Amino acid sequence: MEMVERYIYAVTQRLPENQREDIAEELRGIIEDMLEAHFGSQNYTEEQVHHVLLELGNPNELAEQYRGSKRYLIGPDLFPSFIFILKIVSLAIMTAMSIVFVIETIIEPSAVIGNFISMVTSLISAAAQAFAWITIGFAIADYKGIVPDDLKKNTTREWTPTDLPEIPDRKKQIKRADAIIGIIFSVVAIVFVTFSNELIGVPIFRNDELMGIIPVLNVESFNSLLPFIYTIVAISIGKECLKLIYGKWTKQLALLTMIINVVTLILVALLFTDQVVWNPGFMSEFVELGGVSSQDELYALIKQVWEQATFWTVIGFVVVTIIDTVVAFYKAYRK
Amino acid sequence: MSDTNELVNKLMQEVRRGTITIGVLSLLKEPQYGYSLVTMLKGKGVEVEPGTLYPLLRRLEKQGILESEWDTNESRPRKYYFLNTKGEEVYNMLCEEWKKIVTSMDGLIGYGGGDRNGNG
Repeated sequence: MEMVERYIYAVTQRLPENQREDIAEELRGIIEDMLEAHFGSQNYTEEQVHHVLLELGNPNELAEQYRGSKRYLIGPDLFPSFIFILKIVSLAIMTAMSIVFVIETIIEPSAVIGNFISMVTSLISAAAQAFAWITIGFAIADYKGIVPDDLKKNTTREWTPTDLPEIPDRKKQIKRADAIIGIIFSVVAIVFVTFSNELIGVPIFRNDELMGIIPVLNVESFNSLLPFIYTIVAISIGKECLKLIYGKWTKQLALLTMIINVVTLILVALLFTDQVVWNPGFMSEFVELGGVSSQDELYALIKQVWEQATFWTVIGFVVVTIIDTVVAFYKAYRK
Repeated sequence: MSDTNELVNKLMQEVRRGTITIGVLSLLKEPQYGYSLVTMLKGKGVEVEPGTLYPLLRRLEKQGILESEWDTNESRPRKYYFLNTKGEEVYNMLCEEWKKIVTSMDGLIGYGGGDRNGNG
């Protein structure tokens, strides 16, 4: 009868804890009833047990019947959005990796094969990361039942024709492509800072020959800043997703955009108050690679610009954010 | 030909799915345990897979039209299911609906496989 216990285990382990014991007990009774009905009351052979269990069917299917529903990681309501986001992100990663590959190859044409291999490995690792995080995000949303009303196909509420969405006002409509490009841009940024932050910098040419790139960012300490940067980029991806969900400019969306922009600005400001962002050896590397002596006028000029970099970067962020917010409110409120 | 049979099987499975519930309820004025229902239904010419029947009983209990009780007096413990008052009410209403369906379907497909062109 060991086979019977194995069968019962196979069924009940797929069921909620509080039902297991009761269903196990019932199944045990049923199986014995079936054995008795088919073969009379005697010591049953293994073959006879086999026969009865076959009649009961695949334990997986039986458990599914008991649960009354199929189990999904990501249910049918969210699945189309899931695929949509996956496509955008894959596209973004491909774009980013290709750009990195091209830049690296221009810098060092002889290393084209090595660059290609590193592109492929980065591609695989980035794609796996992206896939995992997106799946986790959607799975949590599904598990918690966070499904926007628009996506629910099986709403129990009675549908009326007034539920039909308005035909969007062209002036207020958000172009999907814009939001998608925004997301792609964010993902490209994240790929760059993760895999190739040493490439973000000032290229130095001497006699029409590329001497190298002086990184603007502090390559050594950069990893400690990554969580911070990821948060900022994730928020901006979230903003673009909101635009995709809303589909048109509304007062609510403008307000949300403003809140997100303020939060982003605060994070950016915090990031830059910490001076570890910048490459501390920038000026000395500049002297070394560029062949400029520290007495030159050019050196003084560059030094001045370099020292004000933080200030101007933050100003740049502020300006861009204000424009973004103003545009959002303008589009939401204009008739 | 086996193709046709397969298709008929599949379509009939859909038809049967709804009728099994009525069939089961019809037998539960008296308490019954799982396997006794299978044999009783089979005796009446209704084939139910055990894998469908037992979960169905639990679902009906969860929906509040069946009650259940463990009987531990016999040689092995068995879970008995029976209709409660709500269940009886539901069963009676289902029977009404069922009769209507039978009448309508008879009107559509004719009785005894006679004239199928609707000329009679």
